[in-house]
Amino acid sequence: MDDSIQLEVVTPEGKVFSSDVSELQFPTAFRGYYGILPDHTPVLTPLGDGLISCLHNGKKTVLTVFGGFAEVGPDHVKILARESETASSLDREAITKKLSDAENAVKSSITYEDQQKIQAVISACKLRLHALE
Amino acid sequence: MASLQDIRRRIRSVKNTQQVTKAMKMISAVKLRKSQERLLSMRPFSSMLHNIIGQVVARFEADTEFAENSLAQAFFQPREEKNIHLVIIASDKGLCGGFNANLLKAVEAFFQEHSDQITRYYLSHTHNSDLSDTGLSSNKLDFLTGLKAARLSNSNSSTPAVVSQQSSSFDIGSLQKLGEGDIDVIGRRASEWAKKIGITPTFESVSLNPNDYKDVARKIAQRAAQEYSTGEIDALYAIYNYFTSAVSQTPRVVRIFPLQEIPQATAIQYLLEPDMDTVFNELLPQYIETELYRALLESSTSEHAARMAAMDKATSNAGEMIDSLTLHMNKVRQAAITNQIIEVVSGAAIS
Repeated sequence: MDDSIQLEVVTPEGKVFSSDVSELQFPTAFRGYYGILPDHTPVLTPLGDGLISCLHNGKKTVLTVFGGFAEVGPDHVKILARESETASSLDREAITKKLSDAENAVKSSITYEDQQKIQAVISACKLRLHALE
Repeated sequence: MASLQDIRRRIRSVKNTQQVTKAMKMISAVKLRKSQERLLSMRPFSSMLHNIIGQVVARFEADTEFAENSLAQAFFQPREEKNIHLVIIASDKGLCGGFNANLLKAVEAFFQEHSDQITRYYLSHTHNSDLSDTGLSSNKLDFLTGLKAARLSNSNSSTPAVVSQQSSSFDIGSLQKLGEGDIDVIGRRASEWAKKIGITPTFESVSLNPNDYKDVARKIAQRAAQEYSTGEIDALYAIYNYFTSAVSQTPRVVRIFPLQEIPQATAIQYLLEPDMDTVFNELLPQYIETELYRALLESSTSEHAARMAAMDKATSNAGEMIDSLTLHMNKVRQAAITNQIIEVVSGAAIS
């Protein structure tokens, strides 16, 4: 098919998502979001943290992604993510709980390193909640 | 001769041990399967990353403009290895056959070969005697250089052969140079080993949960990439048990980067966004992280396999022991019965 892109999202834990899509967006590390349509020029770029959204038969699918690489070809996009999950695999309650735990913990943490770590958890939780909306 | 009671007690205790080893074997089998699954599911990621590296390197070679990029060397132009960093991956627990012993043997062999490159801070022989001349206490020396300082002071003072026994696997030449080492240790066994030899590792991680492998790999990777780009280290090595199969695990010394072999790929004219430097900057830690993560997985898979084999052997040994003890017990019992009968019969004959 000429008007579809084969999207593959892979993490070290395994394949997260694989499907033919008609368009997609992913977050880059430095330059905001990249929108991809079929017949895109080949690109290799590092990824940032954010949401991948793709259109498949008019239906929108959302995935989270935390760092990694994207390889874009004319008929395929391969996403090598450090971490990634589909929105449907996320558990809202667990994330909300983790978020409130982290927000409590950030008040009691002392060292800068600890705070950084907890802040990272908080922003990851927020991103995941965002994916659920 | 042991009494019937003693033998029965012995059999009971062996049986208990056998049950423990059997349970451990089954636990290891389950863990092995899980670990193996993780290892398998990481393969697509790994091969895709290799492909990307191949692409970038091919692209890089075609483009002379970037030839001066120092980071790019990490991928295909090894520089002279003056300082190397070593990651040792062992296990936390024992009861897994030769898993740790073989690994540490490999580490020691590596050390003997590369001791100059591996330690950043060391006291050479001459420095050492200088220090003792200037009246630095022998305690301080011990602290600084660990075992070998004591070994060295043999010449002037009298710390006898105890030390040399412990450090039997090291010749004195390499011993002088230990101290603070450019090594990371993962697993309690590795950390104990480092302590015994007298090296203070840069980073140490014990009782590591498989879910944290990625974080640890990332930590080491980022620091290593940083140190590589500033020229503090010229290579990163890892020593871990490679999982060949469920029955065979072998310690492996791997140079994680610069790459031992560069994946070949036909260059597609990829647009490198935002630019080549940035891509290299991101690719290097990512690559190291992935390789370390794989090393950790290989090691934990091997550990479970090794433990499973060791516990299987222990279970069957216990079985054999029970069999021979039972035989022995029966003989003793029969002897006692025969004795009693003889007593009765001869008693009857007299009367």
